[in-house]
Amino acid sequence: MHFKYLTPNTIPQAMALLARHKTRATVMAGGTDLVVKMRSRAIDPAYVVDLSNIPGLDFIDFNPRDGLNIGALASIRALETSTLVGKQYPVLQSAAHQLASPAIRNMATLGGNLCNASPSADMAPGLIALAAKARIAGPEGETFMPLEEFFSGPGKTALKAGQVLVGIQVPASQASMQAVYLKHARSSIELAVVGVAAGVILDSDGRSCKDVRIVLGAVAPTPMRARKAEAALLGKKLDDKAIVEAAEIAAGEARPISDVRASADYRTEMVRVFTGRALRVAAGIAS
Amino acid sequence: MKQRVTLNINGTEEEVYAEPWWSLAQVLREEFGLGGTKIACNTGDCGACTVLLDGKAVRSCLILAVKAQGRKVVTIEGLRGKDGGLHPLQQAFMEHFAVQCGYCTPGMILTAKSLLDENPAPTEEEVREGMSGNLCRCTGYAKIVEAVMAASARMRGEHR
Amino acid sequence: MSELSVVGKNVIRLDALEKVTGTALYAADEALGEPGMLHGKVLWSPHAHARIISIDISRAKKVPGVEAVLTGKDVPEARVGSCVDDQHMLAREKVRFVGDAVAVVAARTLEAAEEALALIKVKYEVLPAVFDAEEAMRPDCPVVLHPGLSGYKRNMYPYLGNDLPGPNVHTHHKVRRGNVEEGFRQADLIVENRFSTARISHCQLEPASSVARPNVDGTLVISTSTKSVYTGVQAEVCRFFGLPPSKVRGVTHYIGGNFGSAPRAHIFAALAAIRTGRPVKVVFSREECFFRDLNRLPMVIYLKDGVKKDGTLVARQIKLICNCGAYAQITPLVIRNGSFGSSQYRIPNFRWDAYGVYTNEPPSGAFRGFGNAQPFWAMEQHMDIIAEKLRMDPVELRQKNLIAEGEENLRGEKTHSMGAAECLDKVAQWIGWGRPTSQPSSNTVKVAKGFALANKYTQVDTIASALVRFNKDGFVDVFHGSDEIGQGSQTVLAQIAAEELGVPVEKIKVIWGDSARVPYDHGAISSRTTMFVGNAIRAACQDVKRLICATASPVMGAAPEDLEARGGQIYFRSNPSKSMPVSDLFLPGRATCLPHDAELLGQGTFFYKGYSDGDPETGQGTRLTASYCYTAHAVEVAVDTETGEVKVLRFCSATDVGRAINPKLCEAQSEGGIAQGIGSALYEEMLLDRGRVLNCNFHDYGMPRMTELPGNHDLKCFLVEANHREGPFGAKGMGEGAMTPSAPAIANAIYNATGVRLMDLPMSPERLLRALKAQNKEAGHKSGPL
Repeated sequence: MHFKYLTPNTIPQAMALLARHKTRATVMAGGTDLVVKMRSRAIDPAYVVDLSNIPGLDFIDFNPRDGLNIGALASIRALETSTLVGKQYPVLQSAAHQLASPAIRNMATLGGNLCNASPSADMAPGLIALAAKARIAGPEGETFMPLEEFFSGPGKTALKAGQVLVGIQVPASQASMQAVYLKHARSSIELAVVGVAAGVILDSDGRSCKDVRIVLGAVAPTPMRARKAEAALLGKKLDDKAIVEAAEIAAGEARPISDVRASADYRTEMVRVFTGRALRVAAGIAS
Repeated sequence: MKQRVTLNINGTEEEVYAEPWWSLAQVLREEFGLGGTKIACNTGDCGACTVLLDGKAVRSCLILAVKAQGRKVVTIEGLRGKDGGLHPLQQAFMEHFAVQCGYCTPGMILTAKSLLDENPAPTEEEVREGMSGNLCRCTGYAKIVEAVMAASARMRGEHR
Repeated sequence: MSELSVVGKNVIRLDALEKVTGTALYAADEALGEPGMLHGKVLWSPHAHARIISIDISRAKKVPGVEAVLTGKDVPEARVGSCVDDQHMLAREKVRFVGDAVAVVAARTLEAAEEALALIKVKYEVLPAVFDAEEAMRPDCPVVLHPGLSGYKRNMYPYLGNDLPGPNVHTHHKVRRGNVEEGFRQADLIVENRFSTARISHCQLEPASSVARPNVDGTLVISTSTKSVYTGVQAEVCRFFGLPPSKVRGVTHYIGGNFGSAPRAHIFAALAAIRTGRPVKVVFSREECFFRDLNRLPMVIYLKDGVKKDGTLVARQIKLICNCGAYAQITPLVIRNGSFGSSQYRIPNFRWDAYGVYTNEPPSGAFRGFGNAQPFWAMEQHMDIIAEKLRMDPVELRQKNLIAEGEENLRGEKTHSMGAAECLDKVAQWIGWGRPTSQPSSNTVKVAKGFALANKYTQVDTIASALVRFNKDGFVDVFHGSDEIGQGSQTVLAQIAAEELGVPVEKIKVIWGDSARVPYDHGAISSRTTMFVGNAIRAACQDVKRLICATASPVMGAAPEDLEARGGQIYFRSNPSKSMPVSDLFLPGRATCLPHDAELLGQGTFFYKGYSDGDPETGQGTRLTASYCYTAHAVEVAVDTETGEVKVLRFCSATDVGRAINPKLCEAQSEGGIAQGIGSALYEEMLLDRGRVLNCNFHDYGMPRMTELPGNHDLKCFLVEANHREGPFGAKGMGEGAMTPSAPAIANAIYNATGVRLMDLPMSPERLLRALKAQNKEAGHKSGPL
C-alpha cells in the first residue's frame, strides 16, 4: 500500500479527481472491502479518493412519488436500523442485517457494497428484485441506470471514468412487492455461498403472480436475474408445484464457479433449494 | 507522505503524523502505545481490533488513521471510569471466567459495550448474533455470553 | 484428604484484571514504536518443490533503511529440526513447500522490509512434487523430498526411523500385543473401513511474534509468542545456532492462544539479530500463521476391528498414514504418542503401524490432542458401527470393553485414575440417550443424538522445577518455567501453593516466562502443567516450610520437627495455640535468624523416576504416560437434508480431571474444546491446491463463531474426579482431551439422524449432501422396479 489520500468536499471535486487520475485512482467509502483488497495487493492504487467528507450523501428518505432514496454513503447499519426501510422494504433491512457483522455494518456503506461489485454482495439481489436504479453523477450530469445493469463483472461496474455512484432509488410501486433475501453461508459474517432474493406481487385475486423477480447472488460473475424462472411464474398460480418448477429452472440458469467456499455443483443445487425457499416465503406459503 | 491527523483518544486530544495507508489500529498501537487494541487477522474478520469510533464499534484494522481525522476513539484502555473503577463489562468478564488467553478480550468487551449501548436488555440470541463478528479460539464463547448477559443485568440495576 | 480451603474453589483468574483492561503484555505488544527496533520479514517459497538456481539480493540491499538481507548462505551449515535434523532455517539448495523460508530482510521500517522483500529475485527450477501421503509413501515414488534422510540426525526416539517402507517415509511407529490374526479368527464380526482427517489450523488469535535483542555481552534475549522458555525457545535457538544455553535467554509474555502451534517467528528474529547485532521484531501475518504454524497432522486411517457376538473386542488393527509435509518437525512424536488413546478399551490383540510421510505440503505438528483425535475419529465411529451390527446399545458396548482400574492396558501400563465409565454415564443421562430428541424431525430436517468417548494422556518423560520465596510481608513468590497460554495455569498453580502453605491465594504471586529468572520446566505442553509444575511447587512449598521451621527452631526453642509452618505462622505441634509469625524471622535485631533480610527460599523438582521408553518393536512398557484424562461427548444435531448443513443443538461433555483445582477453569477448557471440536468436525479444513493454502484467512477458514454453538442452556460440562495418586491433590492434566471425542460424536449423531456415515473430515454441507444423495440413489435402486 502506497497511495495519496484525497478527500474531496463536493461531488464535482470528486469527479474531477477521478477524471484526472483515471485508473490510478480508486474511490473509498467505508473502506471495509477496499482496505482488505489494498492490503492483499489485489489492487494497488496511486490515489484513494475518499468520499466521506462530502456532506449529504448518507440520507435515507421515502416519498410516494420517487419511492425510497438512499445516499451512497448511508451505512449498512443505518439501513438495518431504519424504521422507514423496515416498514416499506423489509427485504433491504433483512439483507443489511445479513451483511457481515455489526462493527463492519457501522462502517460499510451501501454505495461501497455495490461498487465493490462482488458477485456475492448482499445488498444487490434484494435491490435488483425491487427494480432499484443507480443514481450516477458524471461530467454529463446525473443519470439513472437499472441496478441490474450496473455490474459488469467481478469487481467491475458500468461506471465510467469520472462517474460516481451517488445513490440508489427504489420505485414506490415496488413497496407492494413481497420480497425476501436468503443467504446461504456458514454464518452471516461469511460471504454468501449462494444468495437468493425473490420478490412477488400477486394479482388482485391474491393467487396468481402479477410480477416476480428472482435474483441470484454468488453464482455468476455478477448478481443475476433468473429470467426464465421468472417467466415460468408470471401470470401463474403461485403454488408449490409452480415454485418447484421455477426453482429447477433457476438452478439451470445459474453459472456458478467452484471456489474455496463451494463447488459449482453444490451452488447450483443450493440455487434450487433457496429459490424454492425464497419463493415460498414471498408467496406466503412457507411451512 | 505523512499527514497530520488529530484524534480524540480516550478523552484526550492527540495529534500524530501518519502515512495515509496506516490503519487506525497500527497508529493506536505503534504511535500511542495502546497495545490493548489487538491485531489478529488484519482483514476485519475477527474483531480483536474493535474500538469505539464516535461511540460505535468499528474495526480499527480496516480504518485508515487519516480517515478517523477529528473523531473520537475509545480503546479498552479508556473504558475504565473516571474514578479508575472497572466498567461492569470488565467486572463481569473477570467474574464469569470469560477470559482465557485474553487476545480477543478487549475487542469482545468493546463490541459488547456498543451492543448494550444500543440494546440494554438483549436476549442471549441477540448477544450471540450481535457479537458473532468477534472470534475467540479459547472459550467456546459460553462464558463470554454469560458475562455480557450478567453485565447487562447489572447495568440495568438488576443484581445477579 | 483433609478439608481443602483453596483447591476446588473458583478463584478468579490472576491474569483477568490485566486482560480486561488491555494492559496484559503479549509478544506482539513488545517494543511498540520502539526507536532503533528493526523489523524482519521473511520471503517464502512460491513453489511446492524447486531447486534454487540463484538469489539476487543486490536491489533489495539498496532499499533505504535495509540493514540486512539474509539467505541460505547466512545460516548455519548443519541441518536442524525437532525430531529429525532435516531442515536449514533458510533454504539452501531446494525449497520443499509453498512457504519454505528463502530469505530474511531486516529494516528500520516495516515498509522498507516489505519493499526489499519484493526486490529479491530468486530463480527456481521447478521440480515435480508430491502431495498425497499414500502416493508419497510408495517405495517407487518418483519424487523424493529428502534423498539424504538415512544420514540425517535423529534427536529423539531414533527407533522410529527403523523399517521405513519408502524413501519419503521418516517415521514408522509400531505397537504389538497378542496376535491380531488369531484375534480376527476368533471374531464373530469383522468391521473394516478407511477414514481420513483434514489439515486444520490452530488459529490462535495472537499472530506469531518475536523480538530478539542481542546484548553487549553476547547474550541473545528472545521473547516470543511460542510457548516454553526453555525447551521451545532457549534449547531450540541454542541448537539451531550452535550457542550455549548461557548465551540465550528465552522470554514469554502472555501468550495469545497456542493449542500446539509452533510458527517460530523467533528463529527468524534471532537470525537477523545475530547477523545485524541489532534488536529485531518479527510478526507474522495471519496468512503466514496458516502455513507456518505446523497445523494438525492429516491422517488416512485404515481400521479393522474383530469382535465377539456379545460385543467383546478381540482384535484391532490400525494403519495410519500421516501427511507430515515437507519437514518432520515434531510429527514423529505426534505419531508415536497418538497411539496412547487406544488404551481405553481392553483389546487382547492389537497391531498399530503408523507412518510419517514427507510430502510437498506445509509441515504439520502438534495440535490439541497431539495425534489422538485423529485415530479416535475412526475408532469411535467403529464402536457405533459394531454396536449397530450386533444390535447392542453403543453405551453398553463401550462400558463392556472399558479397561478397569488396576488392569494392564494394551501397552502394559497399569490403569489408574479411570473415570471413563462415569463420564459416559453422565453425558448419556444429560443428553437423554434412548429418549426422544428435543425437537422432532421434519421432512427435511432430521434430528438425532450421538456420542463418543476419548482420552488424552500426559507425557511422562518431562521434568519441572519450582522455587518458592516466602517474603517478610507475608506474600509468597512462586517461580516456575511453564507458560500462560490462556489455560489459567498461573491461577491453578497459585491455588496449589496457597493450599500447601495455608495462605490466602491473594498472597501468592506467580513469576514465569524468563529462562534467566525461573527454574527449568518443559513448558505448557501435553496437559502437563498442573501435574508436573503443580507437584514441583508443592515440593518447593514443603521445602520452604522445612526451612522456616529450621530457621525458627533456635528462636522458638524447639526442634524443627516439633514446629509446623502454616498460614504465615509457625506453630508448636504440641500446642498449636502458641505460634510466631513467619515475618518475625525477618525482624531486625534477630541476626541469628535471617541476617540482612535474607530469603526464605524453597525449591522443588518433579519427574517420574520409573518411566519406560517402550519397546521399539512392540511399543510395550510399564510406564509410558503420566496420566490419562477421559472425555465423553454427547450431542444432538439437526441435519438439513436439502443443504447438508448440520446445526449442533445440544452438547454435553464429561471430563475426568482427577481433581478440579479450579472447576470453572476446567469447565472453560471443556467449553473451548467443544468449540474446536465442532469446528474440526463440521467446518475446518485448510484447502490446498498443489501445496498452496487457498483459505489462509478467517473468512474462508471455518473457525466457529458464537452463533454456531448451542445456547448456554443447551450446553453442559461435567467434571468427574477420579483422583490421581500422583497428581497434586489428585489432579491430572485435562486441557487437551477436551476436543478428542467431538468429531466422532457428531458423526455418530449425523448417522443416527440420516443413516449416512461420513468417514472423511470435515463433514461439510457439501460432503454430507453428496453422501445423502448417494444414499437416496442407492435406496432408489433397491426399492425401484426391477
